[in-house]
Formats: sequence, C-alpha cells, structure tokens
Amino acid sequence: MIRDIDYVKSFQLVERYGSYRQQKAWGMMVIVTGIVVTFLRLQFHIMVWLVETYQSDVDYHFYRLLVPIVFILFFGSWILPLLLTVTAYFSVKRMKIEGTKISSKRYLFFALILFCFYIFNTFLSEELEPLIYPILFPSLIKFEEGAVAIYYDDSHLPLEAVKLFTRGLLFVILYFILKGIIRVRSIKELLPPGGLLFLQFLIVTIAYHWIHPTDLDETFLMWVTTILYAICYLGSGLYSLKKASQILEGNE
Amino acid sequence: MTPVNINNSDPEISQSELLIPSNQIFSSSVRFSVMLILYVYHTAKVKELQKLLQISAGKLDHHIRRLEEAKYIEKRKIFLIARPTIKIIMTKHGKQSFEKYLSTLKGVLDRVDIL
Repeated sequence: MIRDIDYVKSFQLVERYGSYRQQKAWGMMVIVTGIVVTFLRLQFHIMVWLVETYQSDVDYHFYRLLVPIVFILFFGSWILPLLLTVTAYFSVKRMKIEGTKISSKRYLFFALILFCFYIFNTFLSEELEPLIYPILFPSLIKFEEGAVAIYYDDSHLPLEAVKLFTRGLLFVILYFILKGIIRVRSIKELLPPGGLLFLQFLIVTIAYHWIHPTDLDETFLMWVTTILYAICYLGSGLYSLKKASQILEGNE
Repeated sequence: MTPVNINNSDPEISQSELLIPSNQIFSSSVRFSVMLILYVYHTAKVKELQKLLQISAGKLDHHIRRLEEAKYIEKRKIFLIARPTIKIIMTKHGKQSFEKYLSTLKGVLDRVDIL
C-alpha cells in the first residue's frame, strides 16, 4: 500500500520551523541585550540609592555581591552571540533542500554577520566613532602643525548627542540588515521593531542635547532614558517572539 | 495528469518496490516531517512540533512513541524555570536509517523520467 505522504508540505514545515527558530533566537538575543543594558545603566543608581539609604558599610557588601553579577552579565552579553555562532556552525548540515530557503551557507552567514556586528559595535564605540564626526561635521577638522587634528569642543557641539545618534543610527541600519538576512518576507515586518529602536535613539538624543543642559537634572534624565531603553529593547524582543509564535502556528 | 516512465534497469526490482521505500516507519506524513525536522535541526521541543504540525497531543505522542520504539529518536526532559519541557533528539541509528530512506527516495526519483 502506498501511503499518502505530502513531501512538499514536509519540506515547507521544515522551512517554517527554521524561520521560527531564527526569529525566536533573535527575539531572545534582543531581550537579553535589553536586560543587560538596563541592568548596567541601573546598577550605579541602585548602588547610590542603597548607600544613601542605609549610610553604612552596606556599600562594601553590596559591591561584593554586585560586581560579579555585573561582570557575568557584561561578559554574558558577549558570550551569547559567540554561543549562537558556534551553535550555528555545528548546526550546518550537508543536506540542502532544493527550492526552499534552508541552506547551510545562509545560516552560517547569518551567524558570522551577527558576530561581526558585535565586534564592529565595540570598535565603533571606542575606535571608529571619532572618524564619523568629521564626515558629519567637517568644521571639526583643523590643520595643526602640519597634522590633522580633530576638535572635540563640548561648548560648541552637542558631542554626546552626536555620539548617541550616530551609534543609534548605525545600530538601526545594522538591525535592518541583520533582520533582512534572517528572513526577507516583508519590509512591513521590519518597521515596528526597527522604528521603535530608532525612536528610542532619537528621543535619547533629543533629551541629551536640548533638555539635559536646561531643565532636567542628570539623575532624572538617566532614569527616563533607562526606561526608554528597557521599553524599546524588550518591546522589540517581545515583538520578535510573538512573530516567532505566529510563524510556528502558521498564522502570519 | 503527467505521464511518467519508470526506468527500471534492475530486473529483480519490481515497479511497486521502486515506488515504496522499504522503511514503513517513515511512511507517515507526521513521522516523516518529524524526522526531517530533526535531521535538519538536531532537536525540537514536543510542544513546538505539536503547534507546527497542527495535530493533537495524543496523535503526536503516538507517532513519537513509534519512532522511539524503533530507536530513531530519544526523549529528553529539560527543566526550565516555569515547567519541565520535553525535547526530542535524533539517535545515530535514526540518522543512518533516515539517510538511507532519503537516498532510496532519491534513487526512485532518479529512475523516473517525466515525459
């Protein structure tokens, strides 16, 4: 007896499952990054609050407890993409299904891009970032004793705002590129989380540039931006997880 | 319907044998799909498979038990924060059998010419 096996449907299910796993991994990664970022931003304030509240040697004990947690979280945020890369590498199969999107090269490429993104982000924050300012603000470049010098003058330029904005903009661009590599189905799908992240960077930039020097005190601004970070990262991650669930159930 | 011509170069193999790969365990859409998913992604959670295949927990359990009895897959219980989750993985024997099945299918397709 010949059984009725729908091979095409089976291959489609495999493809859908792959999309679900990638979407879920992405969502988890954004959420973990969001938690780490929020925690790192909050830990200083928590520490200050505790010291001010108890006025004792609680700070010493708290430090002993907090410092390892901060370190674990900080390195965890680096180890996570590394683990993803290694897992992706070992998940690569020799099998390639014709006519579907499953291909080892594609999956590995995603992992490598992800890893490069993290490396690039690190370099960006410390090494490459100053190189972007002269492109945005050519007046910063001046010749001094036969050498090129870049001026950072806080009184004339909203440097912190520019830094935040350029980093934020690059993050959003990279986000779109990465998301595009994972699943290219509809540009509409990329807009809500990408837009949310962009909005966050925009608001933080505006807050630092225009509001900070005038009306608000630094602690309050820090709290506001931290809440914004948390909402946007967690919102974006949860959106991806919801999409993943929809993909799995076939309710896209 | 498109007529097909089966090129059977081996006289000892009948045409029906060519069309039906020998492994009866895989002759079900659900079991074939589960094995294919495990072959590509190594592991899968039972809950995820149930949602993906859109079948009841009982039916899926029946198919999983059949694959388990054939020693093609293994169940693993993982403890998460909320509740334990059952994960299934493909065994080495399962991988070999499935690869053999796929190559049989490929062999069948190679012998078929669409006219």
